Amino acid sequence: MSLEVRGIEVWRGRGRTLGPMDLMLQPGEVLAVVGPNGAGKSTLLSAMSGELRCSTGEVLLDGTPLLHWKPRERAMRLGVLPQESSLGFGFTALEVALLGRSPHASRAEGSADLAAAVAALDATDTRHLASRSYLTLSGGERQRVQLSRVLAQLSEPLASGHRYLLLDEPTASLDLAHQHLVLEAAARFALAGGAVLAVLHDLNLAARYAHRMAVLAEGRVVELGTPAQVLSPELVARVFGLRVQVVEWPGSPGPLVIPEGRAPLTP
Amino acid sequence: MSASEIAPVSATYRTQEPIQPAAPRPWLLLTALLLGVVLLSLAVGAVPVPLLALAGSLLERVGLDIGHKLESVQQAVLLSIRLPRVTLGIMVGAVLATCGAALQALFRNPLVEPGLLGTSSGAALGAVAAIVMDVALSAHLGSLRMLAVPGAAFLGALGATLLAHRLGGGGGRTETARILLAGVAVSAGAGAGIGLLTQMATDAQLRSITFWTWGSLGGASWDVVGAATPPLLIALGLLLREARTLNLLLLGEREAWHLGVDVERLKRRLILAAALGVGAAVSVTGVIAFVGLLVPALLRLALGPDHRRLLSASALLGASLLVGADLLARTAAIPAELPVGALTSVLGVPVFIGLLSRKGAA
Repeated sequence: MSLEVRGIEVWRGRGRTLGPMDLMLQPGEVLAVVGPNGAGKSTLLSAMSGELRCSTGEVLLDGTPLLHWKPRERAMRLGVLPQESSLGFGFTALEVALLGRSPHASRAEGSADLAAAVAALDATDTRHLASRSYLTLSGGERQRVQLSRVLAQLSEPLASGHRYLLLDEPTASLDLAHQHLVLEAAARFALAGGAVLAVLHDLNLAARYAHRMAVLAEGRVVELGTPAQVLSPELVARVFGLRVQVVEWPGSPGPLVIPEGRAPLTP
Repeated sequence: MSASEIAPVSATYRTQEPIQPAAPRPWLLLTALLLGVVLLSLAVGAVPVPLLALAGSLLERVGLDIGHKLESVQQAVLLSIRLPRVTLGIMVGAVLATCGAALQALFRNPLVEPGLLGTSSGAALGAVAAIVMDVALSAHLGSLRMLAVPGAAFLGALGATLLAHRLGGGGGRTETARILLAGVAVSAGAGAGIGLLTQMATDAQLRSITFWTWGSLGGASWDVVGAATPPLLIALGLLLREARTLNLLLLGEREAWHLGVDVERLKRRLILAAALGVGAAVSVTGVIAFVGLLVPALLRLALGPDHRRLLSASALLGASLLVGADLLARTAAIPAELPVGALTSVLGVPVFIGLLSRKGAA
């Protein structure tokens, strides 16, 4: 039972933008995907969600190829938060969260759906915005409301199978406290038996909240393991071109990465 | 280092407010408006039909005599002229407004109009071609001649929409912006065709073409109503069924797909339903502009974007708007009749400009 990527490759024109790659996302874990711009993080997320057809290889959701799932059944298990959304209509924040319930509700939403949507707003600290129009919200507030929508989509434990949450830079436009709040919500989702894959740019956030980290460079996974295993000054210099110190800090659940400056051009 | 060991560092939760989903209930108001406009439209005209006499005649059928009755002229005008005209107005107005609402959701743009897909101009080309070739065809068509113009308009609408859809990449994943641009191209081509055909038209045909391109309910008869009802009602039914999926589409095509919507098939269904509805409407009344743009755009301001309210509210208000505009068109300059499409444009243009200049019109 997992969301598994088997030997996938994505080609655009003559260039290979992703793969070949194997990766497995398991229930109960938060997997952070890090890497420099253009490394293929969002492409990986699109491929894992089934939105992007892979040139070769396949993606298995609980053992069954993603393409074989009925759309609604798939939507009950697999939720995706895109990097940015283009909602240009004045739904209230609560209505946006309720839209996440649509795979579950066959006709009108019931009180269970309302409760799930409200709980999802609570989880992202947006309940006080419930009756505000989405169009009047700030970028960070919109991002959190969209996360609520995806959390509401996946809020119920399933009779069989697991729930997978794919987040593309969920902290991108958030203030410091809300970055932690959103990743705490992701950690709680994993603790409840779900699985989370999050594309992150902040290595310290990744180290704090992720059980495993996958480091992507030029479309391939170059390191995979716990933050303590993966994060080293050599790796960060090689992949990101940045000189750093990696230190243990008392009380911090993961290593801390402290930047020093740009790495010399030749390794 | 499991998640349970993580001490929360984030801000404390805000005080929890009670949640009450607010749902405006427009049905009573909109139904009353439609009923009022319909009754007024039945009563007013060159031959007045007093509502009291109408009620008297209806009650007489069930055995009650209140002392008022319709005269036979009034009864004839009511049954064979006004009733089919109002019926057609209700259906066409409802379909145009509902198609507009659905297409605005499809293109995620509150200022889109059914005409943008090439539907209206395709229908115009078909109708103009039928009018100009009328003389050549009439000998063979016999009694079918009456249906030649609406039939050709309907085929033109369907053909133009499918062509735009195809040019926009209809086979695989269609991008909505491409379909819109293809619609512009198809409209331009149809416009060129109309221009050339107009050069060949006689004076009488030109008058008919002009009147037709501005839209009118003047051609209404029970035959026309009977022919137009099935496609109009089917299109309306198909669109009303999609209210929930249209809401998801507003989130974005990717988001809708991730929520379990087969987006490509949904887009095909919507475009076909809109072509059927607008094609049938244009083929019996000509081009009536702005109903499909104005009604949903205004209702969205009052009701919010939820299509479970918006679609049926658009149908009701669209019907009221067209029946009301038609009442104005045929009574403002008796005995002359103004083209109703010109009237809806007169109403529509300032509102459209107002919506454009509103920041974040939605």
